[in-house]
Amino acid sequence: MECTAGRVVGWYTAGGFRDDCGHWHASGLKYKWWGLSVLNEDEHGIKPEGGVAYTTCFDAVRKQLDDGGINPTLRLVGPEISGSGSYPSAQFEYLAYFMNKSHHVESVEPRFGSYHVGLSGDNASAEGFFTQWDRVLSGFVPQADKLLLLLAGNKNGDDGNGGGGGGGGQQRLMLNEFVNSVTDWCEEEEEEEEEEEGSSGGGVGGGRRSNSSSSSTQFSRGERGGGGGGRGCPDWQRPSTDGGDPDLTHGKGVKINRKTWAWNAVCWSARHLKNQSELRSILLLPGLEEYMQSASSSSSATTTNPNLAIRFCYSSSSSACRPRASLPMPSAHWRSGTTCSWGRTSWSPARSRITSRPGVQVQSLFSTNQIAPFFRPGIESLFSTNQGARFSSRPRVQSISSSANQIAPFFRPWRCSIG
Amino acid sequence: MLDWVTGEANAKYYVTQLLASTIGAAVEKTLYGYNTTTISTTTTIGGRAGAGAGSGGAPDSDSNSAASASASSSSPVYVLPFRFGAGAAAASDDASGGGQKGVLLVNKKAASVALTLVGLSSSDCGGATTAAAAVATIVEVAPEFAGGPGFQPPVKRALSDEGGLELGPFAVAVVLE
Repeated sequence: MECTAGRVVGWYTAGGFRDDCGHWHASGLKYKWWGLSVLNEDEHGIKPEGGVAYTTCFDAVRKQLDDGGINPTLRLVGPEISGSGSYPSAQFEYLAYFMNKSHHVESVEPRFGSYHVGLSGDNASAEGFFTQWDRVLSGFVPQADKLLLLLAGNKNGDDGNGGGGGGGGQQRLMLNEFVNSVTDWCEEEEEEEEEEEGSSGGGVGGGRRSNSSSSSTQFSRGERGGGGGGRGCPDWQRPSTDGGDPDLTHGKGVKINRKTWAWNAVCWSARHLKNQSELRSILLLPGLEEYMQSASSSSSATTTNPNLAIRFCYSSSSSACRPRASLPMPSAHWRSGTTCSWGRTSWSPARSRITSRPGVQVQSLFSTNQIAPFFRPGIESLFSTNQGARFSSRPRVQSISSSANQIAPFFRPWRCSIG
Repeated sequence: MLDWVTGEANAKYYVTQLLASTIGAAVEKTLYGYNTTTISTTTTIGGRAGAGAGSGGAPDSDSNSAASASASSSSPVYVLPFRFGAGAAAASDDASGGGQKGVLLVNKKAASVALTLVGLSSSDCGGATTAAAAVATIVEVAPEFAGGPGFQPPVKRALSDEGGLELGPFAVAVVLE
């Protein structure tokens, strides 16, 4: 695994890599990646569990990049734990194990830890998008702060300022995957609609929970898009769900749910910008310390750091807020009044924007619950590092390349989705 | 975000567009704390440290200072007052040297909420010399919207004389002075 990671990193950042036979494969690419996320979640349950095996792999990758001279300065990020930000939880313990330097080769402290939060809701439970996140803020996040302080040697886990301080040491945590899953994103057949509408009495959002009987469970994290038995929502990975025509624009398959309230509820993203206390464990941004320092002495905080400004910036066309090796911002298209239609996509680091290639069609692209993957960076950029925003709307592909697509959007699995 | 058959945008699109077209500029912003007072279904919001006078007091005051990270978790509304830096296009001549003031609001509930914002310009009470009222651009659930509740385009509402503003369910609003 570490050899594979070394080749990928070499290919993109070191101009190429040398294979086991000694042959040099030149790429000509020397991207200056901020960092590399190692693997994604623990989807295969590699043993021994609890972070033990992962930590071994992580250290091996680091050794490969360092000792192999491939990219010694590349920052490594892990362990990309999954879940809904619960505490206490096995995932939190997984994270805690990894962050403890005594578990690493030569006790080298992992500088950056990462965690994911997946939330879900539907027409009837849309408020849950808020309450679920509030639960993360009041449970997981303070404990994550405390963990860093404890690992830094503060036995009380107290920064002396009444709260966690993001750790007294050098370690930092980042939330680099935030997934709001609208589980009733597709529409049931008309006759089912009417029946359900009639029986629901109009409740929240008009009363219809399209697909709710199946999707709430079937589209749980790691399974969403599955469809399961019955019709289910279209799934780009399952042609049988496309209604016999993989081109969704023909409307042969299931249509979008136009009545759900959850569309609105998932748009609460800026919640995260509430104050600097919340930023401590959520965001990892160059300049954040500067920001927090100014915030600690005043009820307001100011920063001119463009990396922090990215949280407000949806247009990457401005040099002042251009993300570094970061995500393409489709809003650049919106701002210019053009349509950001998705065909096969490409990403230009120089321009930091998505362009679509006319004539190349990605069928069923809108079949996952995020509907439009290109929306997600606009949201996720609020929660991620400026380097870490990612496209992650196609879960099965995530497992192949998510560690790379956090860093290099061009490595996104569009190739897989088309195939 | 888009209806894949009709191409129509839903709330996810509109909210992103809203943020991009309002606070999306790269210009420096200063964030402020705020106080909220919830009275029945009406919430009064007052800025702090330059964003206006705090409303203070009972019955349920939520001081969203930097030290109370989770204090507003139970609040029905999320609030983020801000002020653009002097470089903002719509910068004012405010004595503090700051630019245009604004507030980002999010209604976390599946019901409408009535707000009173303190510290922003409200509508003209008849005097010709008062400043223009702050205007909110809102994306919200519109149960009666013919195109579907999640598909209503943004609407604009000016603050009332008293700074009042009604937000629909799950509304995301940017109020700019």
